[in-house]
Amino acid sequence: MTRQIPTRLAALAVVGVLLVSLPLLGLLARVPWTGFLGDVDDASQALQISAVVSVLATLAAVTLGVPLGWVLARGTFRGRTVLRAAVLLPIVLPPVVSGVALLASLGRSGPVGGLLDDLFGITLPFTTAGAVVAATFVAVPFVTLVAEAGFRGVNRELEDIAATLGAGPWRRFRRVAIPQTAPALAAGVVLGWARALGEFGATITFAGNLPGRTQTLPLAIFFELEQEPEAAFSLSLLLVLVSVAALAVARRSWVR
Amino acid sequence: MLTGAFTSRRDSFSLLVEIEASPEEIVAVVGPNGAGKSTLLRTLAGLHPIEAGHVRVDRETWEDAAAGVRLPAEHRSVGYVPQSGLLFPHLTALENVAFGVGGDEAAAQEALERLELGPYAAAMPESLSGGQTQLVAFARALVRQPVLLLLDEPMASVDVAHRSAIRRLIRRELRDRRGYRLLVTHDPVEAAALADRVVVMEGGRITQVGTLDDLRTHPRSRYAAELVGLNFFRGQAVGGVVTAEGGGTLISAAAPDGPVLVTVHPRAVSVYSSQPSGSPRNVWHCTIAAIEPSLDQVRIHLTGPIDLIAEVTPAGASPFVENQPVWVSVKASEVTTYEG
Repeated sequence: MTRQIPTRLAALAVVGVLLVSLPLLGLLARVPWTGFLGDVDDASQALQISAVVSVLATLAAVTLGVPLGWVLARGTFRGRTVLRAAVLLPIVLPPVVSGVALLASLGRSGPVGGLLDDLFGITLPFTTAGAVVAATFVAVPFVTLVAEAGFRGVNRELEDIAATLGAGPWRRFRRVAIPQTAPALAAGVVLGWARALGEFGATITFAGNLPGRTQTLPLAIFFELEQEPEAAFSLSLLLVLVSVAALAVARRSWVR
Repeated sequence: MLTGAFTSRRDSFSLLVEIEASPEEIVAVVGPNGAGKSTLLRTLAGLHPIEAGHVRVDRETWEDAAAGVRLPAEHRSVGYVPQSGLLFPHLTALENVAFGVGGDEAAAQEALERLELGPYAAAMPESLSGGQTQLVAFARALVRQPVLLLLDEPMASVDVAHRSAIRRLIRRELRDRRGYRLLVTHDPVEAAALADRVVVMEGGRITQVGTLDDLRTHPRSRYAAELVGLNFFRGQAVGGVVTAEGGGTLISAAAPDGPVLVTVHPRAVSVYSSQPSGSPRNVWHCTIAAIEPSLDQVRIHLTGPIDLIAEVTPAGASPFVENQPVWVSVKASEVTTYEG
């Protein structure tokens, strides 16, 4: 067996590595190291909003995505393929389109948004809750995708054994299927959270850019870039570090 | 009484079974691979639906296709020990056993100790041997005191060195309790050691039910005969002469007239390189199809008017080679015939 990599492939791979790494190196070069902590401190409001929004969105994405993954993995009903496509669509949808769609349906003049307003006096657009909805919308498919794959890998015979030991469907799900899928689910949670944290297009379209209410870290970076580019570089570095950490955690639970 | 009379289907395989068991006996289900033995157990456990018929245990209907009754597995009082043990990999041995009794670890510990597994309570399944895994799975089923106990090939994943010790433990536990006890095996030694009654399954049908002694003396299919190590064929008897399905004839004084089943012990078959003199009865010309050595004897496969297997000592087999034409004789007194 020869282990040589064809030169052409090697050359293109090098270009690929450069394309991915050079911008990050460029960012490092521009970060004002002495002012880094100060910049982060100044953005504490956006940081807080980001933390709250991304964590709530992740919780919502897990609450909805895990059952969806189970239904897709185990359901035998017709139209499952269509359902899967619909649920996974936000992954490929341009975020701004997601935002417009959310606005059209959940906005005050939208069919669902109107109802929420009339019945409960709830308005989502341009509120923190709206930012959470936008982030959840884009994060759910990641959790669903990973959960479905995980549930497909569960040894069904173990669930059968659990049934003969008196465990009903819910107990089989909780005590047998979930522990077996835990590593995959952890990866799904991290991916979903990272996606929610980085969400920009849908958030700005649906929830706007209101400091202290809907301005998350990515939005703050974008607007700082015009006013105080140094601060934007600092905050970007912060998100790079968080992303690297997320990747490390996700990878570890995946590889196991 | 446990009664099951049902059909079920798995992909293209169909199962048609009538089975009865009393709480006083241990029943072994034997049969070749793919006979539907495991499907039978899974059906009784409620893991596989029936198409028609019913399953009743004591006065309870567990399943009745016509009435639309189907008790899910979790509501049946069953203990199911699958072939490979299948412990929950994320739970310790003790937690595995406690799973079915609401986490009652005292009961689980006691069940483990009965099977001499006390020291392994805290062990994770991946660190247990095949035999230990099987015993933990057995304890997990027993601790619930099920009405119906189902064991699928309990020795399949057990190391040869530990078989007899584990068989002894399983035997004691099975003997020490009342209730319906069914075990699937393809090993006649295991059936003999553990069961009172044997059900033979082939191709999704039950072909014989009886005591192990019935099976040993009167097998009713080629598989059952091979299981107990006998030559077997079907024939028609008239006045003590049996005409085999393949065309050969054989004299058997005791044969009842009509369709018969014939068994011949392989050690009652003698092989000669030239025509034997003396007793002229039941002598044929055959060809050696194969010579198959085993531990202390050699099995010679013969094709001719009646295909037979002869069992001889290694010394007795030394003059013969494959494809050699030979003479074969069977003493009439060694031929067992019974109604077919």
